[in-house]
Amino acid sequence: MPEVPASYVALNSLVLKLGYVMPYTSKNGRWSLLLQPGFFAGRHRYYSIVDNIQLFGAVENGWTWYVLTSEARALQRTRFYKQTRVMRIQDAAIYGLAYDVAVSRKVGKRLSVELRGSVGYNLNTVFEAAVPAPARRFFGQLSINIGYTLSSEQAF
Amino acid sequence: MLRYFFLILAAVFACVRGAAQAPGRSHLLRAGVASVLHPNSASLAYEYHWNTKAGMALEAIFYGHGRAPEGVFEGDWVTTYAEQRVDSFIVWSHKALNDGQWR
Repeated sequence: MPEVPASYVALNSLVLKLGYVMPYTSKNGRWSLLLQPGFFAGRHRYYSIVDNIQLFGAVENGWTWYVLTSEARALQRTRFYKQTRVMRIQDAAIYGLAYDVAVSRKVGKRLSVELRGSVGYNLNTVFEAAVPAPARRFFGQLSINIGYTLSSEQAF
Repeated sequence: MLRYFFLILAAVFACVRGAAQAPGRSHLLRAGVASVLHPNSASLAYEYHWNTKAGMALEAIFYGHGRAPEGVFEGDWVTTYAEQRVDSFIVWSHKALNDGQWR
């Protein structure tokens, strides 16, 4: 069978994050600093690969030839293996704490652009080895967001 | 899981559409368009601010980590196979070459 790179192949993650938003708005109402503590929950999908090779038999045969000036020996080894591989998609629940810090700038009446930094602490790690966010213990994210205010009364 | 996400999204839209606006109260939709540390991720959030000092945000984030390598079998596989190897050992009787080695 072909070799697999690891016993764990991450596929995707989907999380829902709920946070309490504390906006601090500038006097002109254009700039805002948002602090958002919260928590997240979701699922992490990955391939679980269990590869096992078992040696269950070995046979050895030997021969010797004699010629005029030399002697040759040959040894034939035969080994029997049983290989079992189980590779399945699995979902693991992940949940933890998150904290977001964002700087927002209003563009026009309803649009806003913000730079958001987020850190998370996962309380239910799938593997302790190097896995992608948000399945690992600590993770961070820096993203650019575009917001659209639906209501006519603007909060910031 | 994805259908629950769309159900929540539909409920949020229904609430926003029917909500009576009050001074200082706002509803906001936010989409993550670019991420530095996780390029294969996307997010969509709904924020409800009940006044200018506080609010709540519900955000759905999808992380794509990649695909399984090409040619990798998925499922349960059981196989048996044998491996055979022949080694030869030559012993020369000539005095100068009287040291054999595995080939």
